[in-house]
Amino acid sequence: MYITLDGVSRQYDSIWAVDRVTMGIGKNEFVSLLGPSGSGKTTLLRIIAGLEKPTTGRVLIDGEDVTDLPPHKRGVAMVFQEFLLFPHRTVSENLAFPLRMMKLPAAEIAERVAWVVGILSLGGLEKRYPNQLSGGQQQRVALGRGLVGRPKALLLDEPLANLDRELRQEMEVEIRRHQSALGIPFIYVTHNQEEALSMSDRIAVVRKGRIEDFAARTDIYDRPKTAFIAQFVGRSNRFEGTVDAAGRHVATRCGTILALPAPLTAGHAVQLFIKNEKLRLAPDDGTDGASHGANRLACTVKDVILRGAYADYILAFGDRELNASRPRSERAFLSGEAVIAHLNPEDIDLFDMDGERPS
Amino acid sequence: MKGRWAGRALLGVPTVFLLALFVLPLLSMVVLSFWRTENYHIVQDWNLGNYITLATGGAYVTFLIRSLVMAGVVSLVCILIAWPVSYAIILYGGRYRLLLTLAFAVPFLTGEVLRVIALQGLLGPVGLINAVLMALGSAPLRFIMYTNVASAIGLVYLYLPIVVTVIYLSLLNFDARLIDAAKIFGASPLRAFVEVTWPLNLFGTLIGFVLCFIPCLSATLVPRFLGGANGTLYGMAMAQQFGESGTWALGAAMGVVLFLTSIIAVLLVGMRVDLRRTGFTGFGRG
Amino acid sequence: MRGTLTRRLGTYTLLATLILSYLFLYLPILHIGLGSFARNHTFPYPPRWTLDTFGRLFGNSLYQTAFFNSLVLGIGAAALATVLAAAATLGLMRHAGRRAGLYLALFIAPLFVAEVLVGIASLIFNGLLLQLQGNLVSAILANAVHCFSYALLIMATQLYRYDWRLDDAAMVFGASPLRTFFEVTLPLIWPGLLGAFVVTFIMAFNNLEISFYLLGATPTLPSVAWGALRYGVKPELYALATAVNLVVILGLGVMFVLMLTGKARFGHRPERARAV
Repeated sequence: MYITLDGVSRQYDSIWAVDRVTMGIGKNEFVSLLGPSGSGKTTLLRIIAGLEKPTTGRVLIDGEDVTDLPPHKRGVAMVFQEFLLFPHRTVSENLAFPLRMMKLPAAEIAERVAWVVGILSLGGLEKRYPNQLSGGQQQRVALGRGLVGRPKALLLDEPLANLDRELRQEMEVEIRRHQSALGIPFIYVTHNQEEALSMSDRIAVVRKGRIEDFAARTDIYDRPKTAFIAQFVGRSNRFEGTVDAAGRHVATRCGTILALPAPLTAGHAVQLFIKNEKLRLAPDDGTDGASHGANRLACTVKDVILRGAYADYILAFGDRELNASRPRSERAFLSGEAVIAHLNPEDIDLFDMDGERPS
Repeated sequence: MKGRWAGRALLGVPTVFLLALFVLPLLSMVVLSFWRTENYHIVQDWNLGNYITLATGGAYVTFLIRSLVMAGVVSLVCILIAWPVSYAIILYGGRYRLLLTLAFAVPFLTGEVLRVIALQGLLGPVGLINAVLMALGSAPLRFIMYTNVASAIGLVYLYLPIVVTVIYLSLLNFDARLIDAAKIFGASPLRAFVEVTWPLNLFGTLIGFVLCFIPCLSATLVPRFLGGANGTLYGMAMAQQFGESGTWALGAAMGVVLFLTSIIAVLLVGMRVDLRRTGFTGFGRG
Repeated sequence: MRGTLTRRLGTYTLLATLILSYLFLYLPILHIGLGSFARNHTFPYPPRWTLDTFGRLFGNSLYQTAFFNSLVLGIGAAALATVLAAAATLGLMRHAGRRAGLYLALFIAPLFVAEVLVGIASLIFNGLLLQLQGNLVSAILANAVHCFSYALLIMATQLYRYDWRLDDAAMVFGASPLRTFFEVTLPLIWPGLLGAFVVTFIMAFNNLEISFYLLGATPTLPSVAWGALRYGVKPELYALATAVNLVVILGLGVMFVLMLTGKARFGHRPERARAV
């Protein structure tokens, strides 16, 4: 592995902000650290950067143990959430900063700055100061400053959090493109699952200082390892219940019987998740004989939210709400309409009450 | 319309106040400097005599040069002390930063006269330092008794708190994460200081310099009570024109000279600095 | 390892400078503080305790009058300076527009003019042109000029980040401009006003270089102390300085206890604290 964290922990007062994290990141990999605020993901990034010292554990970059190296000797670069451009330097001076620290000759500095101005389309802004730039332009300069020195790794700390949605999606594509072009690892910290899913090769879900799971993005999304991930990644409906005597069904608290994908011990308390887009809808016209059987829930459409290619349905089911997200290419339903929501047993993610997959 | 009226009043009243009680008195000082004093009476007779006296009377030129050197040295010393002090407070002060800074300002709050009294208790012939030295059987330190060195120590004592406060405020408003950014991009701690911390706090440092330099240039109390026979400074000589000598017109001319010298010093400092390069983004609504 | 060594050396240098500077500032204060409580006031080591000096200080009617005058001078100048500076700050931030730089230059100009020059210039203006005798009022006015700029600076740093849209919001919800001022603006600028008042009060209370030329025959604490100092340091002066110092240190002590018990934070914002 190109970057290795070996049992890294960081203690603040009595709290473990990072708790025994071990992970490896490949040379040409885009990895996201995804977690809610306060989960320790930024601390983890700062440990890799050398801005924080781990209380225990080692950090290796390109085979070298850098645990005791200060940040300026690690050869990594960083893009900060608040950009942190030098306010007293122009755009081109900001871009030249890492190169000057590397003591490159002036000609090469000019050449590299020109290169980065080119790939980030910053042409014409070279003489401006950071406060004369828009948020998006500042973000590009910050990214350029990260790339210009061809670092061993680029660390990104919620770099898109301060941008508006449209700009964010544009930058996501661009960041991903630069990563594959440069062939260096990008480690991207975010609390935004969409950003993590759209760019990463692998995602590490961070929770309370620990890595909940570190896997390919499709695995994180499609086969969440824990209830926390199921809850946090994607949008889901959650049920709680107890496995019945036969071990094939779950009686949920809201009185519904759901069929299980695989048999379980009777009496087992479980929680189930089904992603909004996996909930299928059909009109409840009474012709379907099995309309009130297992995994078929009779609901009423409470509200419809149009999201371009998708429609989000808010369904009233007994005294609770269910959420479904269906492509607009399917039949549309109107508010007040009676529908049957169908849960395919294969699409249900099932966990113990402590959040683990039942063995 | 109402808003405009309010704006005019808000800005107009202080403007009139300053024009009447600040600008007009200064102008009247300029006018008086071109008149004459004779036997404690003002003679309204336009002439340049006061300025000629100041330019040719060797003592006055000496006083001015001595004052300039004194103010320059004292301001530099204050900056040299205030930087590590404010930096240490910012670094290690934690939640007690403000308290530590205020503790620095306590002596400042007790007034110039009382502080000079306290300093005499330290430096004077029967003061703490010399009393201790003599009790130990050694000779008293002559250079801290009624000398220019004593004046300089006194001025540092008087104005260090304000310089510390100004530089502390500058450091407080400085985004220290920029140092992180510099380090990440390969700057050693020293280099990060030179590239980021120093330029971004240069403006505050200069304000501190000026706020120390100007009162030092016109110091009256300290040279009088701590300085010796060779310690007369320009401000002290000027004050004497309004007291014992009664030569108000000459005093007014000295006031004009002091005023112009201060302005020139500020401009000289100000012109060497490109505000843009100190991260200054202008006044406004931030 | 070399890195940690230089780092530690830097830390020690910084802390040593800090401690030495505190010593430099407080040694004279402690020295005369001891002296004022001792019979052997010039070299009170060890002190032979007495409260006589303070008795003489507080019993002296000249010091009493002077204290009262200083109080009037301080409150008068501070109140005038604070109100005017508040108006000027609000005006600068909300109404000045393009001319903000011009107004600001005028408003902070007194900072760049030595106090003694303000005193002398006012003396000339009042005495020569207006034929006015010096008194407490003229001293208050001249002190207010100098205090005004400091008050303006204090309030401007406080209000720099104030979001004026809050005012607009209040107006949108139907508050009159006057009501907006009292319900929204005033509570928000209150700490700045208080800070400016306290600092300018202390400045004017202690001022000699301006007041000296404008007071006429009115005694204030600094002028009485100055007069006494000309005839050599008396133990009463030690006691006076110590009394003032004790008041200020008491204020800081109260603040420290409040911070320790977490009742007040005095602007400390932990989220802004970062590793340097």
